[in-house]
Amino acid sequence: MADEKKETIVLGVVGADCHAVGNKILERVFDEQGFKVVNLGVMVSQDEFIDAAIETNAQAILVSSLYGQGELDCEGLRERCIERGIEDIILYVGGNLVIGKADYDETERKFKAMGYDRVFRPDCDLIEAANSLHQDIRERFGEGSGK
Amino acid sequence: MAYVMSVDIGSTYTKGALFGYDENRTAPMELLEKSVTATTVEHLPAGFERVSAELMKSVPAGASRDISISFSSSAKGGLAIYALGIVPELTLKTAKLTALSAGGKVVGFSSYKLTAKDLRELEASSPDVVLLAGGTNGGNESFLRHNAKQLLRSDYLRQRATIVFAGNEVLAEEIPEELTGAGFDVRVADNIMPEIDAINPQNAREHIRDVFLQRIVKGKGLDVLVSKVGKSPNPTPYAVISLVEAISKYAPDFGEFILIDLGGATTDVYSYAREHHGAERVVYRGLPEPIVKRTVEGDLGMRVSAHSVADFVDEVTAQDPEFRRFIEIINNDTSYLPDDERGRAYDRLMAQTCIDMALQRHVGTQKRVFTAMGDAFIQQGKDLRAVSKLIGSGGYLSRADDFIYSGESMAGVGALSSGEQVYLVPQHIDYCRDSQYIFPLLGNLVDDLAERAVLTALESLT
Repeated sequence: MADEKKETIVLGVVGADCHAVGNKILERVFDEQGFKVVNLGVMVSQDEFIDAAIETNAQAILVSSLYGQGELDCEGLRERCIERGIEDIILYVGGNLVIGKADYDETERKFKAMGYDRVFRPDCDLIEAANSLHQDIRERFGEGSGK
Repeated sequence: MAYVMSVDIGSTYTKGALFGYDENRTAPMELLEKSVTATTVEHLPAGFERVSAELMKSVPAGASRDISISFSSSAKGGLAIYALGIVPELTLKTAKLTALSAGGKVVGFSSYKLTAKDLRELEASSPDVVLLAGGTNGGNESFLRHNAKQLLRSDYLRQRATIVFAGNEVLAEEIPEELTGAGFDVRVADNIMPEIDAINPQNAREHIRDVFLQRIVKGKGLDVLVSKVGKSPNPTPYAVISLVEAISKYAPDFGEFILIDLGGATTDVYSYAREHHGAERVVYRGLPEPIVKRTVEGDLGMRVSAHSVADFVDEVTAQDPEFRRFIEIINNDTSYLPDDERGRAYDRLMAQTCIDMALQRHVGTQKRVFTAMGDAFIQQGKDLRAVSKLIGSGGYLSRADDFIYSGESMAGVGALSSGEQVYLVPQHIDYCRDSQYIFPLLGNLVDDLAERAVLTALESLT
């Protein structure tokens, strides 16, 4: 079977956000970095992320938000994951998460409190992000946990 | 001239037709004779023989008596299938679609973990088949393992049902082996959802059809027929799906279309239409749907389901004591045919209501959402707005030359202004009838005479 050893991640742009370009770039980079990427595209609801993660047995969900309403859209995702039985899944979030040039540390603190494992700025290095994801998955699920 | 016979053993009537055709020319066949008799429920071959003997009389003297016969059986509305998946909107939905496209009826379903209570309900629904799905390939394993363990506890399933495994292929050996080892009848099909955005019902559908043959052939004397005719029967809806697929293949000019089989108890909708993607400002959500899609509405029909249909008519009519009386009459006498204009008008209203509701449930939807970049539309399911051809079939629709389905009553649910959600129903309808009621019969002939069956079907439309 193809992709047998790959780690699976679910990717998408949350809420009523239709920024499609960054989403394609993320898909390409994470694919190149050895992940099996399940890309749900734009305007994805919290439950759609979770549905896909359950069926594919994903180790991580990567949420993008570019239009400044990330806080509203991202809140409660961890709680929903817990309710639906994937409480230990890794959650990453990144993009223009809040309107204006708010203090990044404040934003990171806020999203970590919501249950996200890592929070990324719009100008982050994607290769670094992919490396930390490999590492986080190994730490949480053990070596060779790609299904 | 060569001759071919097709017989459909329905739950109420056994119908048959004799066709003649020129072996050297691919052209519409000639419908030479039709025959119908009450289905002999206890011993099906009796009614079958009556029909075929009647049809045989129309074979000219001198022609060979050795005529090929194809047949179908609705066998109590088809194989009873219990669908199991993980996420309701993903593998469970695919499992239900697969069951319907195999010509079965979904008697129950469950998502995520099958509980002890679910298992009791599953047994109470007396399924012939449990379609065990869940997980993409390489995806989730825990739910399938759990659900298989639960199934193992059921003596009912061990003795009476077939498990069709169609989930995560990683488990396609482990789980079937365990079930088989415990004495279960198991078949292994390809995963019906190998990827999150891809469905693959075809192989599982064929397995379900095999189970249908194996199971129904055992009862009511069908085995006698199979050995006599030398062929196995099709499930009736499967025959219709075969015809719809054959039309799309052999008559591409006919284009996309909808076929409605309106019965006394149920309404089946078949659509042949591709999914149209790429429209501006439209975001597609949910599973892709098969190009030929079948849905079945168990609460919509002309007679047995009259009471539930009456709930969907407009308020004024619903309150009309004459209409209430009509509903009582047809409810008590399901073979009742109105002999006055008022009764016929009620029948037309019933038919229109059934089609309206069945179409609305068959098609996809669009919802308008407002975003920071202007408004956009979220679409789920099939967009049939551009499909105009609608074929009516079934006892009533085939006969009713005073009924034309215009779709006008659907204008409300198809208009964007009506509210947040729009049903993607046809915007303009070009209605025609299977006036000879031969579509299911022609479906049986698709295996051997596909192109001729298609030409005959299209020629018979009025």
